Amino acid sequence: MAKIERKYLAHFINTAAGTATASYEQLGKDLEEFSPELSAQVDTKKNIMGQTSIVISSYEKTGSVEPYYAEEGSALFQRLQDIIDDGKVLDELKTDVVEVKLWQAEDNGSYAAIREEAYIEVTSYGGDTTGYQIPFKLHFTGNKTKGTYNIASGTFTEA
Amino acid sequence: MEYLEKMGSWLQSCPLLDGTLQIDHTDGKPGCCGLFPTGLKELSRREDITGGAQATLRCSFVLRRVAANGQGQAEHAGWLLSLQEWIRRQSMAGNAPTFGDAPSRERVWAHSGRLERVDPNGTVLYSLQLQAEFIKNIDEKE
Repeated sequence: MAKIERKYLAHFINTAAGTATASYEQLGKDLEEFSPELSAQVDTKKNIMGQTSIVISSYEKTGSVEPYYAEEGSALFQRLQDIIDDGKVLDELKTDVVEVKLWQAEDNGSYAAIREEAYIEVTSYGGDTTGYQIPFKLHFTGNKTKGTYNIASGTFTEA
Repeated sequence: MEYLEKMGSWLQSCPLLDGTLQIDHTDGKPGCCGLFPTGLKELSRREDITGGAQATLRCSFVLRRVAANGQGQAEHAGWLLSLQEWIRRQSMAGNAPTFGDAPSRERVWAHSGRLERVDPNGTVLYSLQLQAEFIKNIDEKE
């Protein structure tokens, strides 16, 4: 069985704000690692008979995108810059992220994918002399939809 | 060849060289200079999660200058230092040629100027090491 290369798990973030038609941009240029942390809620109980029960009841998934280098013409950069400039809060920060399993090809150029609602938290902006950086964190709500993603058209289709 | 040509064209604009620079050879006459490549080295490589990569490369050259033996050796040594300083200032001002895909993060510098040898025909050979460090985006297929 062959190991799956990292590039085959692709992440696309919706750069459109509000109710506009989704427009996805791939995360990952200049990013050596993107590992959303699941932060599971784990409760462990031991009873008087010496037995241990474990209950994993929920997740608080977050993913840090750092470094993110601002690029002229990028819709994601523009969305992040708008958050900084306008001090956007609440639902103005809502987005969705599509995780695409590029090792699972479906028909007509689409791949198995899951879309999940998330909120963007811009953690800082500026950075060092290597370039203008806007690192941000994605807070996932757990509201997921299974479907497929077509790379060529950049569209997610619900299953 | 591309890197050698770029470096050579840029050095041709240096007032200290005054049109005497030849590429990859010298005719051995006092006053002539030749620019020679000495190698390209990959210093590091960074991959991102999309499968793309960037390599930091260093391209090295040596510039050789022929001079008549016994005439103004101190002047020739000073010339080497002046050329080194011109290269440093031009690179800092952003006037050096672009070799890679991130121009703002490139630099060109010169070092180790020295009298390389004394020839029996009455000439001496000075040399100066030049290096250019730059970043290249790598295609997945490379």
